[in-house]
Formats: sequence, C-alpha cells, structure tokens
Amino acid sequence: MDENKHEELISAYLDGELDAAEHERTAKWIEEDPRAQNLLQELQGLQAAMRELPRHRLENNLIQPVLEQIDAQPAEALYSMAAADIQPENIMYATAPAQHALSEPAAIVHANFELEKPLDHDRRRLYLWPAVAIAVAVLLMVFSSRDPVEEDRSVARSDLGVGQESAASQEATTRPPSTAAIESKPQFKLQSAEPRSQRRMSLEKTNDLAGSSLAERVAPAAEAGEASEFNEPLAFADQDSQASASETTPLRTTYLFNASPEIDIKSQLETLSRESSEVKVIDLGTAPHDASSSAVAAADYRVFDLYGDPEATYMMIEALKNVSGLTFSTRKRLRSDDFPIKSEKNKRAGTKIERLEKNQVFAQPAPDCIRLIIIVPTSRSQSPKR
Amino acid sequence: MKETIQSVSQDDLEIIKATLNESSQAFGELVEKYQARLYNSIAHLFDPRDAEDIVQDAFVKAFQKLSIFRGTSSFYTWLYRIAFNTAVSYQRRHKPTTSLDQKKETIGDYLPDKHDRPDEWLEKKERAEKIQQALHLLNEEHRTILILREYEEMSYETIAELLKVPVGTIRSRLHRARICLKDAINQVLHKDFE
Repeated sequence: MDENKHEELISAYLDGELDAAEHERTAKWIEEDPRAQNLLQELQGLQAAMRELPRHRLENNLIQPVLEQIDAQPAEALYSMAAADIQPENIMYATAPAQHALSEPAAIVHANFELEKPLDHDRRRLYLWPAVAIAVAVLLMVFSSRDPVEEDRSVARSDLGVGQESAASQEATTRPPSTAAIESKPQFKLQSAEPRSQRRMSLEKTNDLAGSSLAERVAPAAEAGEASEFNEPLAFADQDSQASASETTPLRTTYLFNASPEIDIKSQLETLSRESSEVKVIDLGTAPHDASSSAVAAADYRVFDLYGDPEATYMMIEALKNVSGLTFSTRKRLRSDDFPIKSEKNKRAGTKIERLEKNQVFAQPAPDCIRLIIIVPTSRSQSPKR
Repeated sequence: MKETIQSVSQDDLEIIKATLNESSQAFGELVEKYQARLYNSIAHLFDPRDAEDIVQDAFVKAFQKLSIFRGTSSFYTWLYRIAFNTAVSYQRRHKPTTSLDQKKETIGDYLPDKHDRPDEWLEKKERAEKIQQALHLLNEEHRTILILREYEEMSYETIAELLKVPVGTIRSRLHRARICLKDAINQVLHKDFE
C-alpha cells in the first residue's frame, strides 16, 4: 500500500468510516508510529477549524416566498415529477410505489406519467382547466400556421380593431388578405412551449378530459384541419395521434410574442388587462439577450407574464393579436438561460422566467390561469430579424 | 449531528403527511426548520448571491416531489440532494462571473458564541476567516467534499450518493482535500507574515 493510501486510513479513522478490522489495524498503527500520531492531530485540528467557519446568514425568511410559489403552481404539481430533475433514485422510487414509506397520496404520477389511481371528482375537475388551455391553444395555433395562405389570414387579422376579437377572428379566418396588408403588416406565428416528451405527457393526461364551453368554441376550427398545417415544432408531431386535433393537441400555455420597439406594449397590455379585468399583467423587467444564443435575436427584451382566468386570458390574447406591430415569435421557446444575469433586476427576472418555464414544462396549467410570456425588443436597432 | 443514511424523523414524517394531505401550509414548517442550515451550506459551496434563489427553488422542487419521497433517508439529506443538483444546474446555466475577491467579500458572518470573551471571539473570527480564505484556494472538488464532510457532517456513503462517485473515491478524495487545505492554510498564514 502506498503512503497516501496508508494515510487515507487515518482520515477515515478520524471520521469513523473504517470497518472493524481496519479500525483495529489503524488504531494499532497510530499507537506505534509518531508520524501517524502527528497526522491524526493535524487532521483533528483541521476538522475543528472547518467547523468554526463563518456562517452565512439567510437574510430573508423563505417560508412565504416558497409557499407563494407553491400556491401559484397547479395542484397536480404535487403529484408530478419535474422531468429534467429526475434523478435515477427518484425514478426508482416512482416505479416502485409499493415501497412507498408514507401514506398514499391521492394519486401518484409515475415516471411514465400514467395515473396510478383514478381521479376523484374534485381532481377530475382540476383537469378540466388544462382541457380549456388546450382548446385555447388549438384556436391560437389555427391562427399561426406557416402556410402562406394562413399567414395572409393572420395579416388580415392584424387589421382588426381591439375589442372585435371574437367575431372578427372568425371572420378573419375566411377573409382573404389584401396584398398591401401582406407587405406592410407583420405576421402572427405561434410557438410551442413544450418539448416533445412533455407533449406526450400532455396527450396521455388529456385523453380522459371532458370538454368545456371554450373547447366547444374552438372545436370547429380544429376539425377544419387548419391546425395540421403547423410545421415542426408547431406540428402535431406524433404521427399516431393525428386522428383528432382536439384530442392530440398538446398543452401550450406559453406563447412568445415579438413587438416592434416603438410599440408601447406595456401600456397596451395594461389597457387590455383593464378591459379584461380578470387578467393580470406582470412585468418581469428587461433582460439583455445573449448574442451567442440562437434564440430570437441580439436585442434586449421586455418580459411580461399574463395571468388570469383562462377565458379572460383567451379574450386578451385575441385582443393582442389585433395590436398592430405585435407578432407571435417564430423562434424557439423562451429559455431562462436566454437571459444572462447582468444585473440584480435581470437576475430576478431570469429566476421568475425560469420558474414560469418550469411550471409550464413540468406541470399542467393551474386550474385558474394561463400563463403567457411576451418578449418585446427594447431597441429599434436590434429588433429581431424576420 | 452526523448525517448518515437514516430514515426520516417522526416529526418530519408528520409534516410530510400533512403536506401530502393537500395542506401546503404545513410544508412551511419544513422550510422554517431547514432553510438556514441549507442556505449556509449552499452559500459555502456556490456563489452566496445565488444561494437564496437556489434554496427557494429546492424547497419548491421538494414540495413537488414530496409524493415520491420514500423516507429511507432523512428529509434534510433528500432536500440537500435536490438543492445540490439545483445549484449544479444553476451554475452550469449561469457561468460564474464572480472573482475570488468578490467571493472573499461574501464570506459569511462569524457569529459570536455567547460563552466567548471578546478577545476569544476575535481570535476565533480571525482563524475562521483564514480557513475561509484557504478554502477558496482549493479547487471546487476539494472544497465541496470538505464542506459536505466537515461542515455538513455527511457520511461517506451520503456524499458518494450525492456526488455520484464510489465510496472509495470519497475516502481518497477527502484525504487529498485535507492535505491540500493544510497546505493552503500554511500559504495564507505565510502570506500574512510577509
């Protein structure tokens, strides 16, 4: 055994991490060898010094922020797994419910996201809201096809005034656009917020969902086949689940918008949220964009979170579509690391985005809210390329 | 306080059961109980300015995963694992921009022991600061293992599980880390004499 390996025994002896035989041998060695005794003393001194390290004092009590964040999340989150953070041991736990040491929760979601127990009535009601969210998403996606004809229709929609949303949107889907409008107006495009794996989860979870009034409202559009015009990543990518758009549509609760820098999106949003009083607009601040990232373009972005009752939020989204100069992003989903930390404010915004992102990716939308993230370049010279 | 692979304490188990019965407020008790300890440790291992966010995230994740907590380790060990993984991915996403000098500015407070005389307290404080400086001379691998073992008093097995390396590696790495710390302390002291 080389010297280092030998000395390791003294470290482990100090920590009480030797088996009985090793412990006995090492104790004997220390007793007989002054060098071993010196080393043990040194290590004891280091250990004592380490335990006197200064304490980092937590400035804020985290109970309230943690509970608020938890309350802002869907009830299902308690029974969901944050996919990106699943550690091997957790997967093992999840697939071995019989070994669960605690009282059984109402439902356990396995690693494959199948529900172990049938949902009770109340919980089933909670799942109605994701259905509503899906329905909204279907409608939004109908408006955002990359098909040139659909793009023209989107352009046409941008001509419509705020507040005419319901009827006007219906009309816009069938009204051919004018050439002038195509040249001068931006196009609406919708972005999926979820990776494919999560979409699969959503599909599995939503198969049993009942309809809703909102779902019924959007069903005709979906059945008309317009939604299937989406390209990847907007497409209904799962070939085996294309039979019915309303069944196969993944949950999409986050949408990215771009707006020209000259648009005062904040006041627009505030006006719209006042009109739709059940929607809250939360300004997450400005975040500089990392030029090395492929997302969107090198510009600063203003980030908003829309929060509210699904139907009210839907109305607001529709109204937003009619804000001239505002477009859905065609880029990848917003990622928290697209917002590098360069200031405390951006750091806070980044953290909020990260949390929002987690909510959207890992869990169903909350029963009473749909979340949206709007990004607005704050610099004209650096506005995103189209 | 030695942290070994142990089952969840009865107190924590009661709170966890209450939380699983859909009372998120009960979870607040676990936050209250462990936030300071977890924060302190994470602040030693990672950028202290991120520690609060990391700890808050870790509690929220723990809440989300509570139904899959098997209870074969203490709640704190399980929570610590979540916090550690959160911090590692946080660090990966946000490349560290903190210089050594900045880190030195963010070292923790040395809290006086009520039994210490002022001169004793000052002496201990100074010693603790030297150790802190020496720790920052070590590489991340050595600093991490020393904090986990000496500060968190985790068992080799728990550290091995956390760092995903064999127990034998922990034993040799820890010994190397201690020797490096000894050298670093000498270096810090030597610098003071110059």
